Amino acid sequence: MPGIAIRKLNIWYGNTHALREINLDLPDGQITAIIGPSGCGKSTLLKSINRLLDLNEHVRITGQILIDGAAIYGKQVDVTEVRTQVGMLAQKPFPLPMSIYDNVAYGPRIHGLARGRQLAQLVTDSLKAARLWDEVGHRLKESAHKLSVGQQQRLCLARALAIQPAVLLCDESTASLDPIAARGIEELLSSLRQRYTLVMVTHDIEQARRLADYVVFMWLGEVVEHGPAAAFFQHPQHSLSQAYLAREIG
Amino acid sequence: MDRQQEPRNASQPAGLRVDSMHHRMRRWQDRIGQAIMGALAWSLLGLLLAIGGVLLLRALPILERASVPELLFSTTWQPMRGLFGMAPFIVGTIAVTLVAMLVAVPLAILSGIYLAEYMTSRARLFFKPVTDLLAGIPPVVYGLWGVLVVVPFVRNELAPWADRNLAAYCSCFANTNPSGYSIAAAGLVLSLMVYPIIVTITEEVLRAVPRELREALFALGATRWEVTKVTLLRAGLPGVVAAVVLGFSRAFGETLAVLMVVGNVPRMPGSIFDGSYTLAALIANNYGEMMSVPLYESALMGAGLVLLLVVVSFNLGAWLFLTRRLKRGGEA
Repeated sequence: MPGIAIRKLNIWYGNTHALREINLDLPDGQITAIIGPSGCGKSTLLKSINRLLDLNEHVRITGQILIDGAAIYGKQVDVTEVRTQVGMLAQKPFPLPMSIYDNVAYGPRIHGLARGRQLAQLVTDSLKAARLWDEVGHRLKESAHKLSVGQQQRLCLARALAIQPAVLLCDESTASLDPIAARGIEELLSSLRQRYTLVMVTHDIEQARRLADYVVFMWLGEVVEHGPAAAFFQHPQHSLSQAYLAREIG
Repeated sequence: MDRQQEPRNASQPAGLRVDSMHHRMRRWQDRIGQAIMGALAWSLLGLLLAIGGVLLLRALPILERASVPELLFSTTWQPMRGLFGMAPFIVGTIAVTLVAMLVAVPLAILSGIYLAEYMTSRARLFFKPVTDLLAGIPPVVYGLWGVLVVVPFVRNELAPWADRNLAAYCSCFANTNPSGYSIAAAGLVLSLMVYPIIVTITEEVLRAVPRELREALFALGATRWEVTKVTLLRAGLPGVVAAVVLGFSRAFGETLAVLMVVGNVPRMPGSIFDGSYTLAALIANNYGEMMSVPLYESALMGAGLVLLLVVVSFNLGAWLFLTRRLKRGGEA
């Protein structure tokens, strides 16, 4: 399983220097939580890992990110290839405008990963991994928009798992859900930790405490402190981290 | 609940009375505003009915003399002999529109995709006004340009080429007409005219697709083209249908540019390189000219009615398609 190495990463939105000199090594097979107040650059950092920032033509990126030792920025790198290795679960569930089955099958289809019975098996496995199979297994042909918001988010997770990524990014993926559905997603992510390198952004300190093995604390576009979760939560080193955990700032 | 108002008002302190002069004024303002705006909005429907009604009324004399199938399907247009078969004009109109749409729709949709998905925002800033400008050029200018450029192109290049290469498969490509004024020329000019309309709407449809849906697709490793296929064909389909309907309505009723290049020959066409005649051109060329011929005006009104009915039913069909799609599941 790959670890993620971030080297001298700088990101500008137009003239705004959004991320400054980020150097990080995110451990493989664990859950890394990126925390910090809104606007600190958490999501920007996350979206640089699957190169989703490329979609914004005003973004300028310098530095490098290595996944399992392979650089993901560079002229020879195929972006779609990077994104097959790095799945993403967005803040709000956004099912594709197609059936439940096709939502999950879409990724494997475009990448030519599986066909026919193999594809059906992959869809089934992904839905089971996202703990959605029992609820939708009998109505795969229905529109994905008919599902509840919590179910939609699990469908989006199944969709991301179906392309068999090594890394899974979660961008405040429980923020738009009701508490029960959010708890469900949390448990799911926790159960996936052995099989994927998980990186999640959250503004919820308690959630980070519950889930994270490794923590990155950001402030105004810079990494202030990072390290194993237990150490960070018990003995934060930096005064900003201490203040943030005590909810005095942020 | 108004029934209980009187006793309650009587017991209320003066300061809380809701039916003060000021409040009544506000309520009336709201009601009168609503009435005026409502009347104006509903009068649009009235306008449609009025136009249809007048056309029908004035077409009645010819409808009394000849049956509807006779008018629609007879190929003989000889007003002097009292024969008003509109088939050549109907076929001419449909053929010209069909050529225009077959050329314009695929190309315009591809252009719209490029504009929305691939172009940088700076280039788009320059490009958008250009398409808007193209859509705003008066038809007569397109017509002139058609006479100067498109007609010679059809005469010298397209028709001979089609005659050599395609006529063997279908006689509808036979080069039958040495002038170049033809269905093909009119269709090409029309396609240029509807092109910017369809480009603009396609572009707007694609850019209205939620950012999150596009990001979700990209995050799955889809290419731009794959993203476009999903957003355009599924989320954007109603908009594309609207674009095509608008282009069709425009092309079907376009008069001036068409009559300048179509040749105005009231005969059933056998090839797209035949000269032809459209309903709109028929009305524009002849209204007020040959009014001494009995029933001529009435026949022209009938032609206008046919135009109106076709455009209305096409729009209605598109509307039914879209609403049914919307009902079937929130996919549109």
